Amino acid sequence: MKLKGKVAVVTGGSRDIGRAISVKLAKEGAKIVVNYFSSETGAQETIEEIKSFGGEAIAVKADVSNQEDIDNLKARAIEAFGDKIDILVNNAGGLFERRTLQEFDAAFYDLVMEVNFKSVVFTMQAFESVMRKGGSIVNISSQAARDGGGGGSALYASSKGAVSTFTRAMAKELGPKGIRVNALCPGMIATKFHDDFTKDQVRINVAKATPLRREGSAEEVANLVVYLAGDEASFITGNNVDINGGLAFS
Amino acid sequence: MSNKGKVAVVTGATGGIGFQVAKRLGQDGYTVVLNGIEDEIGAERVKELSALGITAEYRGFDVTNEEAVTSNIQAIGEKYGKIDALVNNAGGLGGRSRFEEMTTEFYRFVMALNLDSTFFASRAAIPYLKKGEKASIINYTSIAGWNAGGPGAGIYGTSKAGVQAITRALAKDLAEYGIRVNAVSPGTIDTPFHAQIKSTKPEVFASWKNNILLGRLGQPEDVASVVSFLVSDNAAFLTAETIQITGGQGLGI
Repeated sequence: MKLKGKVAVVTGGSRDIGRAISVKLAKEGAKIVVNYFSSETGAQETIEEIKSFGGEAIAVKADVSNQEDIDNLKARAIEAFGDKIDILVNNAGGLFERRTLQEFDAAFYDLVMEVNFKSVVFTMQAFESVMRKGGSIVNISSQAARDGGGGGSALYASSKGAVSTFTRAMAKELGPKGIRVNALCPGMIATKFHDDFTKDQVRINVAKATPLRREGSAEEVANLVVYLAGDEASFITGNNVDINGGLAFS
Repeated sequence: MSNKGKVAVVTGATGGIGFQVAKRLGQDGYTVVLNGIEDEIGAERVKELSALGITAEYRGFDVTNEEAVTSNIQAIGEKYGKIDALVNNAGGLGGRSRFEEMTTEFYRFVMALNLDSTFFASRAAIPYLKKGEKASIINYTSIAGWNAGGPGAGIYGTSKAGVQAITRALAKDLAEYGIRVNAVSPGTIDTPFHAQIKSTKPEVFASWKNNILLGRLGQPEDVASVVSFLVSDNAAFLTAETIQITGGQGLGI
């Protein structure tokens, strides 16, 4: 087990990629703080899966676009697993709905930017003081950050672009303090995200256009997070790693 | 070990990064074929690996020599019946030259060392990679492929930009066979590549780490770890991708 004894916080861990990340980190021996907001049931399922193979995990409800909630998440993490965090995975985020330029209003703008970007900024701000030297932060950006996103996802794509840029900036600021910061940019991954927001035909077309001729899985994204989170990646920081089956080059 | 029975070929494996990559893949369970041009060192390297319980052999050939690359890769493929991982590690700066004084020979040598070598070995290996198990190719680009390199390293940078493009082109071409193609992009790694500056200008060499966010030079093991990940099933959805191993030097897209 590559992460034995380490403590990891995963935001948005109640389903899909966030659940797969939580489970894979736990399989490598890390103790997991599974954050969730809307689905307590989903978070409990993640915890049960981790406990089924003898892993340790707790679920903590927090809206990571709210600073008080982030502080509470941090307090609960420390209370459960000690005063240092080794791995922070900023996975929580969302598209909400597809809207074109003329359909934006300030409330929608704030919602998308806060859930995807503000959450990353202030979660990192809150956790910096408890990150262990040698620790690793992994942010989940998106292929949309590279290519502007599919139809109606301009704000989502822009918020992820901010995540990618912030990742590079934080790699510079936190590198000298011994904390690595990387992001990954998933392409079309088979998740509820796309069940909700992407038409079947679009998904089929994207899979056909992908050199590997398929969608990726949440587990494949989680494998990359495990690698970047661990000490084997100890000289990698400031990267935005594409995981898209070869669909787009950045 | 889950990689038992798999075969990896590592070019330029007698020194620096290449040997650590060969060692790591050997520790991962691969049978490793080391290539180099210094046969005595090659034999020593095989002994070192054998002492660790790794099955290894050495093949001396010049990666810029089309015929030698083709016949040797074919011989490896025929011997083992397949190749599971081809690591096109061989390459180099070749020297420094400003463009006004650059000879055509120098230009061709640097392009051959970095780009022709990657093409020759990859082409020859394809029939055997097709017979491999979830096979993949790893190429080596460089931060110089983005920023065109330091003084006098313009052709090195240009050749590495070529490696970047051929990585993507191979990924597209070979995806239908399930063969993945990725690249690593090492930053400043503490290897004999930097031996000259290390001995002639130690203060300059020592200052390099100040430009690296993590405050140290990379080690060959840092690169070997990424190669080990990229050839593994854990990277099954990664193709046409370049991983920068720079400690946060010269952040780019």
